[in-house]
Amino acid sequence: MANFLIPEIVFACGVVVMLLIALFWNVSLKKPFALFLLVAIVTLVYFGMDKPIWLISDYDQYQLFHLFPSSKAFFSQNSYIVLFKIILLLTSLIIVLVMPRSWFESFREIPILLSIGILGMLLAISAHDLMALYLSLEMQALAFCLLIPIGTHFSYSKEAAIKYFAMSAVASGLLLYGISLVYIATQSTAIPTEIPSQNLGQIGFLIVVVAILAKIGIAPFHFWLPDVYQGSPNYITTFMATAVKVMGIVLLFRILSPHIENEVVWMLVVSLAIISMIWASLMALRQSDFKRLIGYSSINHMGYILAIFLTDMQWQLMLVYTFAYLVATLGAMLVLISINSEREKEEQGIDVFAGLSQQSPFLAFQMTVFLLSLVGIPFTAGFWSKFWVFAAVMEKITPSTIFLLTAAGATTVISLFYYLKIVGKMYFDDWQSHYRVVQSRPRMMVALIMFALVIGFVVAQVQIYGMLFLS
Amino acid sequence: MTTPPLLTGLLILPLLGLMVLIPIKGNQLSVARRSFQIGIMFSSLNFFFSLILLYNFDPSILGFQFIHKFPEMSPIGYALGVDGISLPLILLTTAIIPLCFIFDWGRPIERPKEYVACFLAMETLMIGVFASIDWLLFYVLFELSLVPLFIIIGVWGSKDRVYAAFKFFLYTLLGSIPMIFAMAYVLITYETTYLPYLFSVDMPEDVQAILWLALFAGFAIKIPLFPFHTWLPAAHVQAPATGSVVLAAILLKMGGYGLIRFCIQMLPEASMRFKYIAIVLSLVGIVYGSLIALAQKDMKKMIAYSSVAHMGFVSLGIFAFSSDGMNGAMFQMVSHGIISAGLFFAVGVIYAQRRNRDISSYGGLATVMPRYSALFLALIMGAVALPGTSGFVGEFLVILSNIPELPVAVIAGTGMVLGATYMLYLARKVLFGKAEIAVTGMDDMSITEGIVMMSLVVSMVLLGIFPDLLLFLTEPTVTDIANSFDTGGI
Repeated sequence: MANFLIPEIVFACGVVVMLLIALFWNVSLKKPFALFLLVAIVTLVYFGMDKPIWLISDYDQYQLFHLFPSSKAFFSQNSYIVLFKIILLLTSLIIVLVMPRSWFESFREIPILLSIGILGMLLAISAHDLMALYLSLEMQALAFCLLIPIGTHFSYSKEAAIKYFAMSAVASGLLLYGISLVYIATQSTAIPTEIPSQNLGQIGFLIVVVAILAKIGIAPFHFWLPDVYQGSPNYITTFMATAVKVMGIVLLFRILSPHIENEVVWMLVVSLAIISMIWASLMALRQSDFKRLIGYSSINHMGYILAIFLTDMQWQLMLVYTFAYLVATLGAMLVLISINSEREKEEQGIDVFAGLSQQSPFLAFQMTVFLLSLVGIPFTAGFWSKFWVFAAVMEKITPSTIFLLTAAGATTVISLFYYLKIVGKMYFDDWQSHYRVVQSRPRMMVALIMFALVIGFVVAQVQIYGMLFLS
Repeated sequence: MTTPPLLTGLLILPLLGLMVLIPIKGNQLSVARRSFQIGIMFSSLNFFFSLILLYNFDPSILGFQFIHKFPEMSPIGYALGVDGISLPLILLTTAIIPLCFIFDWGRPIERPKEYVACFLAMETLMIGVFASIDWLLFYVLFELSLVPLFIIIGVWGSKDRVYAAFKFFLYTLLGSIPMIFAMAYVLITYETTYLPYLFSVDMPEDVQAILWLALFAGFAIKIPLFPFHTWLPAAHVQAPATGSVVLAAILLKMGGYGLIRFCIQMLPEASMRFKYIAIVLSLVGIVYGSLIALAQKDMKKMIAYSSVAHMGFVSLGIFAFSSDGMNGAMFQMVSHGIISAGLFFAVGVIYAQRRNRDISSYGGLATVMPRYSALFLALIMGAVALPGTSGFVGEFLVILSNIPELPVAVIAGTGMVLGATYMLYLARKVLFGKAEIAVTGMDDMSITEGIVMMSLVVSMVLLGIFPDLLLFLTEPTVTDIANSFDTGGI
């Protein structure tokens, strides 16, 4: 079926329409933007979900997209990727809905830049060709380079923007270099379905992988990430920690998963996972800024997602784990956004949560659930996804995976400490009067939805994935 | 046969109470009064329901009763059931929680609504742990029960409460991480976590050994056995009186219960193989806990270390692999639940008046608080294991079961003597002797405190004189388990 890029095309048209509106009328673009996102979701569901939901075994078959019947395939997707795209768009929609109107009025380029970034993400995860991958990644990265310093005036955000730009530039350079080496070796720019046999091609492939690792921020290529998360405005940090993160990891998954049986790739994935888990959880212990903490927490979770690469049911687990991670992170960031500091220009330390349980018990309870879900305490989505990952990795038991599981268990306990620190602040400390809780209705609603997802996921998890596992 | 799902009812009722709590508004005093009313109402109702459960329970049937599975055929998920091992502990839970509320009735407590809510949540989770016959459900509730107690210690505790709460949570989570791996392994190998099925499969010995070590680590921390006990004194000392009661009376029992349910019933060969690890650790715990308790200046810390010693008897009894030993362990668990709860309540009474738990600053309480001192002394006698109290029956059965291995029995007996030493020291210093200036003008206990302590003392004496009240519940199940070992005990 060749018409699967229609949602992206529709969305691109939306970008153009918004540009025209912004040019001629002086109106807020919040509603049109949300509308276009909604339209994109609907078209995605209509054109993308062409398989009935119970045929989940067929979900991982790729369909190629040829512009002309004889041309090379530039894009491809399967039903899981459609699901990931829907998740990306929904996340974007939620964040756009909670953004204040004043943002859209004072910075009129925000919706344009954001939508270009989102379009880049959508195209990137369906890339079948390395060139398409490169172009769409650039689209996403450049848009975010401009978005990071918007709206805030404190020095961290400029630093963050420059760091993100420098990292993107270096990663893009590496990516192009790797692509050219792969091209020399294989005479094709398609994403290699098997590891090139020549050394040159292997090195090129490795460089491509490293470039993408740097873009996602997987340890040891993560040094830009905490600074960028800390410096960006809260909304953009939320974007980076959820949608952009998911995009990156799906991309890496598409590139690496066909080769996982290869010994070198296996060891690479295992060691990256272990380094990410341990390094991030140790660093997170020392953080006092909430957004930096979320940054390290995301690196830690990327370690668990890398562990999924090794298993037999990769796509399902990817979907489950990223969804659980995304919902909890999004919820936690929304709570942070709800506690609006009057000193908004300064850094958002974890002290803003002190005594939240007295000021707004329900918000504090929600936050507790989100954080416990990030740890993986039972009865949250985080627990089930972690549990299934452990179980699935255990099916592939080798000395390296035993080491990986040990690291995963140990870092779960370590991670409990830094998430629990916030829970402790909320319940054991006194409220600080210079922060105030802004309970706008959409924010509360959205936080509530996230909350329900974290909790309600439980039943679905036990049933669906229990059956999948045991069938 | 369709029976009403009584066990599910037991789990849901406290949650209903929690729901009713949410809309309460008003000033501090009226909120406190109404929250506690609701708490007492729902937890007493739950106690009543558990008595119905007891009435309908047939001890002679081996295996689980009142099984409630949802969905019916699912290999993992929601499954509840009770047998002779879990029922006494469920009764203990439903009995202790209302006492906690009654004890705090009328006391000025910060954030009363949340306080009651935490205890009701604890009740559901703890009953769930004892009643679940699905490993996954057990693990979920086992782990989740840490959260309310973390908040109870952290919010209503004393000075170093935050440190203690964190230590408690982190330490116990560390213990259950190996368990989650063990569970994941069993799930992918046997494709189910339904315990009655897992009891019937014969696992290879090497697998059993690894699973046993993973599980034992978690339960040993929970009980707590000797080198893993350091979280307990910190948590006990910092927790509020009722928090300590729940911790000592019920939460520690999860460890002992888990040892019987998982290590013994699921992994019998590995239990035999590693039994000396458990026995040595228990013995060290008994002697070491008693010696450390002897040196304590803080009353709660002393009782906490005495818990380490008393719970050592539990694991010692379990790993005797005879029906006497396991009966003794079950009896000791219930008896320790009653006596340590009583002791912590007793310390709570004087702490509420003087904000002081130092043994040295009290003295001659018997002259100012005669009724209180009588009950406190009775509980101390129970902790000493005086014949006629429930403490005696448990420890006696455990030592009896270990007679074939004489050194073990002798060391355990030494532990009993040491137990008498520090407990009597506590009684002599605090209750008798010269009246210190600090105790002049202290009021005798209030009626509610009296009711709580009296009911505990009465049940302690009842169980001490008529041990069959409890043993008739546990005997058939325990004998069945012990027969599977066939060690030819006495």
